[in-house]
Amino acid sequence: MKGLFQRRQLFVHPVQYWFVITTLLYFACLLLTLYAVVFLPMAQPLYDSSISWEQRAEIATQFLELNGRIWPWLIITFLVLLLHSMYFMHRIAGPLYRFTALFRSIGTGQLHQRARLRKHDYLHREAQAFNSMLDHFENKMQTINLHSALVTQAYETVALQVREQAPGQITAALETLEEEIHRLKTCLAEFELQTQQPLAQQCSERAGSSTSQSSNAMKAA
Amino acid sequence: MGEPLRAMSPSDQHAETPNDTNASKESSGPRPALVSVPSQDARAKSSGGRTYKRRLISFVHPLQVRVLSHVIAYSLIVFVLLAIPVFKPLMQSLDNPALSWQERAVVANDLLGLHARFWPWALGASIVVLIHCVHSLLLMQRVAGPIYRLTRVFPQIGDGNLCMRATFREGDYLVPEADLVNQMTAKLQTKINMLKHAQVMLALDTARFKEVAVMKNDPALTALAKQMEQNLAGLKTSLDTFKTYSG
Repeated sequence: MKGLFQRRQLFVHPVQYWFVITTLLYFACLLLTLYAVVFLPMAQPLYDSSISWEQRAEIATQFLELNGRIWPWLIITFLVLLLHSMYFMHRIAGPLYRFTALFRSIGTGQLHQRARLRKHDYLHREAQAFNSMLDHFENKMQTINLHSALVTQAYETVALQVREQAPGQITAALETLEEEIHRLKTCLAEFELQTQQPLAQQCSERAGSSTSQSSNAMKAA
Repeated sequence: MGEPLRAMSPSDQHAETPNDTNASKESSGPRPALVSVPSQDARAKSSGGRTYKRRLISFVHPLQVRVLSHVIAYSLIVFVLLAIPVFKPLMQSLDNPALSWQERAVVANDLLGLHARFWPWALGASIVVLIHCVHSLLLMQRVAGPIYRLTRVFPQIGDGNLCMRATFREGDYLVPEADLVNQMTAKLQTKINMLKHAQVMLALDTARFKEVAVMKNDPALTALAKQMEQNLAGLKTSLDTFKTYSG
């Protein structure tokens, strides 16, 4: 979850566009309202016919002077707020973009991948939930792999036994079994897991105990 | 949101308890044809067709509070930054010692007049801010709701329920993300189904092999076949932790 990635693209998700547009609209609405608050009362006397032209000129000068003072402030404020809103939305859109890429790759069976977000990103809680889901899923797949290895081991013991005796009907059944085991392994190979090495060790341990069970069975027989 | 989780799990209705020995017991006849599994996408579409009511405003994610605080902060900043150039010159004039008291009195009058005009309108502007707050909450709910729902769906998928589908309300954002999650789950489900299929076929073949071994009256091979069946039962148990449409 550490900040391993740098921000490169400004817009990576459609949510950013609507957020920027909404911010602009809010700002425009607020600006119009406040502009009206300040300038409408000032402009009203200009339409009063009882006021002399000197007074009107004075009001107009004040009006222009105030305009000249306010606009630079407003433009700077607008730019700062726009940049801040874009940065804020980028902290949401970035994780969403990364999740999207992950959803695609997990679907293809790459279960070893994990959601890693930048330090200041939002949605860390969601990334944890997603990673936890992947951990659970991967554990299940590892158990299946383990059982598959045990089945393969049992098959190999049977195959060894049959080859020593070589009866025709049993060899045919054995070949069918081999095909099915190959198919199972092909299906399992579609899942890429994070921790293959410890699993292999586990398999060999479990398979060893299974082999001893098989040999015991043979002896007993 | 308080609503029930909007994710479908059709197999819940007909999920069967796995029986480890079923596969081997049914193996005496010819290899059975596998029942075709209906398309997951079609089912997902049918489950996704339901629409859900939207609560007017509900806080389900910290992002909503954050966006609300941003809108208020932005409005305050605009308000203050507009007030500074309006009031500051008059305030400076009041503090200017070079002006006579008559001139200061005029400035003070102007300032009071400006205040009297400004504040009633400013209160009106606060209504605009209020509308902004409500609108931003409604918009953010369309993002926070789907995120909340996806967070609820993930643990269930992790627990092996691959029938789960994320369905959003009308007007929600992040629908492409939900589609991707559903596609991901459907693909995983297909892979698991293939594994289950392979396991069933393997179990049938093992049972057949065992029968041949019994017919040949070979106790060693029969014992080995039994061992293999036990291992296959373990594999089936592991596979049955995944809930798919086909059981």
